Amino acid sequence: MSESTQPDPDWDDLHHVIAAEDIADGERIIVEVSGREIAVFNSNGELHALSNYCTHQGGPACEGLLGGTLDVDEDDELVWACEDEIVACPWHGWEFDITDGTHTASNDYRLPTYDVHVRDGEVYVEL
Amino acid sequence: MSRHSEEQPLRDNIEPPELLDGDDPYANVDINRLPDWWRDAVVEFREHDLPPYQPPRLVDGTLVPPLADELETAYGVEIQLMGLDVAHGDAWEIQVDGDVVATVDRERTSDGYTRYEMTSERFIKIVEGQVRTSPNSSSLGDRG
Repeated sequence: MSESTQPDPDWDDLHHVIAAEDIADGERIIVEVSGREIAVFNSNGELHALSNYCTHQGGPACEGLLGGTLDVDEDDELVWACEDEIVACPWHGWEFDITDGTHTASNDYRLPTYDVHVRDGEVYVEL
Repeated sequence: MSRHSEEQPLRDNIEPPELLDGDDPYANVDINRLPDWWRDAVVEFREHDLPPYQPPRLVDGTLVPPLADELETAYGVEIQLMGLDVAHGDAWEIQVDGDVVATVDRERTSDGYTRYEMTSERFIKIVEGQVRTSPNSSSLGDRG
């Protein structure tokens, strides 16, 4: 995990989450920020933040299993892809890509996502 | 967020308003009159076609964000509710300035908000207990 390369945000928009060293690769942390629950995933060396409310019925979308999904390769063969980047809501199994919040089966649904910043070893989300 | 006067008890203005009782809680509400954190959440939920936003509450109905904010301001601490690598149904941690001071069961209700299984009285007591023992926090005597 490296320091953020995104443009410097307004510090008033940053909300402290955790020390970067305390969220290991493959782990997630869900934290209440300004009345909203936001999940930060450390997946494949990248930090991704998204809302913990499912677009279906408001379930805790980011508290379910983290895994991958089936995709189609250039030879039209089914392949397993996006390992550790797909989270399934524990209520009804709706699946979302943690890298951009999109629903795996429909472009009509997308979880809110947030920019993540690492400054001086601390993780912040930008709201 | 609206602030309390120094004379008001800490728990004022943290009770859930009647608007949250309905299926469409913001139908007759000018959301610009809500506190910023609340209004921003309502807007975000609308933009993503999520069910109407409802703030997290303690088991006695107390709204968590204004209570935590009041305590943070009063004692000069950072209060966080978080779950580190939790699975659905796991308890979360209450942290004060990064120290875990308690765990709390919680659930997402069918109405789409989070309810923590702890009373506001207990929540306040836990935070104040940490403030008393932590050398880095403002003393209780600093609160007006």
